[in-house]
Amino acid sequence: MSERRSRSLDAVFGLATAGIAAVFLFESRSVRKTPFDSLGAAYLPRLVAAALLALGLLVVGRALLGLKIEGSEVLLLGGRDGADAGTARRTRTALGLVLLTLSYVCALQLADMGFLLPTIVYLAGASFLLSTRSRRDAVVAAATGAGLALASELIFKTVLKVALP
Amino acid sequence: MTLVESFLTILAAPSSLLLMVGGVFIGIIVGVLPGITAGMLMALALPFTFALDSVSAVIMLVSMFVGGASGGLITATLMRMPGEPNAIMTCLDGYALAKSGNPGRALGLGNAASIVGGALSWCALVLVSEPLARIGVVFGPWETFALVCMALVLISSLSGRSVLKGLISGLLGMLLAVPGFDESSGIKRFTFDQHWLDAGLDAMPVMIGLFAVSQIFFDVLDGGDNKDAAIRATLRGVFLSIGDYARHGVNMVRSSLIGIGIGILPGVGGAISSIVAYTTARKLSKHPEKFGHGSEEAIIAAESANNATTGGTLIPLLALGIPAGLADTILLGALMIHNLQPGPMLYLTNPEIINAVLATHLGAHIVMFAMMTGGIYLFARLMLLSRAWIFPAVLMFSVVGAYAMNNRMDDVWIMLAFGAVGFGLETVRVPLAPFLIGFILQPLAEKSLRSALMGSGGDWSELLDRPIAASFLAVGFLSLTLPWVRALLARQRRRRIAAL
Repeated sequence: MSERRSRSLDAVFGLATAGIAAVFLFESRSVRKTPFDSLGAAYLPRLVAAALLALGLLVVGRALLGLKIEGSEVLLLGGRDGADAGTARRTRTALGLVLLTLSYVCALQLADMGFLLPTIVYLAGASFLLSTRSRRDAVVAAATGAGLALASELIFKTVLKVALP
Repeated sequence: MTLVESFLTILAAPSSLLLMVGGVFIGIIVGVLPGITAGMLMALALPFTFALDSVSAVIMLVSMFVGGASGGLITATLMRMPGEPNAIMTCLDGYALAKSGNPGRALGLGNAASIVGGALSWCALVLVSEPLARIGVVFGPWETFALVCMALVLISSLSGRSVLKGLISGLLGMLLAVPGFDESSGIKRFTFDQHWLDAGLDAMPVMIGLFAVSQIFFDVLDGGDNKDAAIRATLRGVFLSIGDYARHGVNMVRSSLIGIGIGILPGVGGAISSIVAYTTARKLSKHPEKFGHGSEEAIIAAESANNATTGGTLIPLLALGIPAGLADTILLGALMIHNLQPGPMLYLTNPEIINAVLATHLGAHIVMFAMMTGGIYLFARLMLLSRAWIFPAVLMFSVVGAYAMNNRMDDVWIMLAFGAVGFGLETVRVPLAPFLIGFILQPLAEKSLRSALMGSGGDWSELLDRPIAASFLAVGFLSLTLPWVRALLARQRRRRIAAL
């Protein structure tokens, strides 16, 4: 990640943090106290929000002054800056997976759909999307989807008595 | 009946042995599955104990407790999905080591550390439960608040090179845990007139979203089809050699003692013990730079402390009748259903119950070790499968896990939203662990702070008057300032060298 991009991202992060803290500070005014609780339910949140506001502004200040802020060592993403031939395809795949997952959750929210059918379709669709998309993959994805969905329904509903969406 | 006799009775009776093996097995399965915690399983199993005698009920529940605490290792290591807050620290290095092609080694280390932690906590349970339990009672709200502050600062200072970003992450987590009804006063706060926020944000969807969902989308974007990883992935290292035990022995014992010590504190639990053990291991390590990148010492520290907590939490329950966590509360409930009152008198009136708990705690750890060792070969093979089959399944389990906690679809949307939050935070290189720890510890921090301030009439200076609380704060302060002091000294040294 280039220094400039890193600083811009830090500034955005600092601003977002300060913004969230400001919203909580503002909202804390509407939290009422009870006669039995002299501190009130907004006491700690207000302290945390104030500290967060200060730290967020500190990040923005450092980024604007061009001072480097180190980041997490446990980065999940390696070398996303160096766009290669597969970048566009991977981005499309990720977006496809996001859409598919959102559709799956929407389908689960519909009471009539139940758990099994949307899960079979989702698992098969997502597996095929992430595979090399050959004809064989389509068959394996469908079979895996059906098998896993049925097994999940059996384990959660019948054995563990856990409610499913 | 002595402890040895009790142990032999359990081993000799097929029904007791079956209850122990079955309890551990279901506990491990539940630990693996996201959304169902060991405490939840014990609550679900509670009605079944009506039909059992009190000794059998104790055997079943303690076995489930031990199995549940251990099963989280598998998903935390292989999928970066912490089944319980205790497994957050294992996620950091366990997943990194597994991803580097050593899933067998990562799981083997965690499993070995678990049995050592469990065995040492059993020793503490048998030998020194009463004096240890008395220490736990000395802990007041100021001490608990200071301990939470220390844990938060420690994790913030460890998770990355920027303490600033770590602190912000922890405070953000604390702030987002606030919406909903306030536990102490019952007042609705920070819900922004959104009714779905009335019940607050549950830890499970937040945890799954932050770690598992964001990881999957990062991996998809990052490409790196795991064909290469699959070829490199090895199941070697499931069994630790004597040399491994000798090399990691001190770390195992130290982390276990931390787990036992923190386990006895009411309401604090395994998440803090894992953080403190992880931090201590890193501070004392010859290779602190490896922490967060698949360090063996880190996995050992987190898992030893986590399993040692299982014995630690039982100490105040047995010795004083005070439950230290959810699982103990359920165990307490089960004993009370059978007309038994845990506490000092139980040692005199019903020693067979105490012996059953002690024997089961050790026996369940041995059964857990055997099952996990066999299961590791099976589970580690998941790393050899293509991500095309793994990722959709993990996402589906995430949806089920988020929903199962409260049977609310809102929680599924919250999980997805926190997946996006996790993705965003990692993009700006903000560590996720402090966020989650802040989120989980916020209720405890708030409860103890308010209780302490009410007791002192709003006077904060009492915090510094209490030696234990003051020492926790001092440790936190030092870990916060030392990196800055070190950087300052290094800069001055560089300047001096440049001037020469």
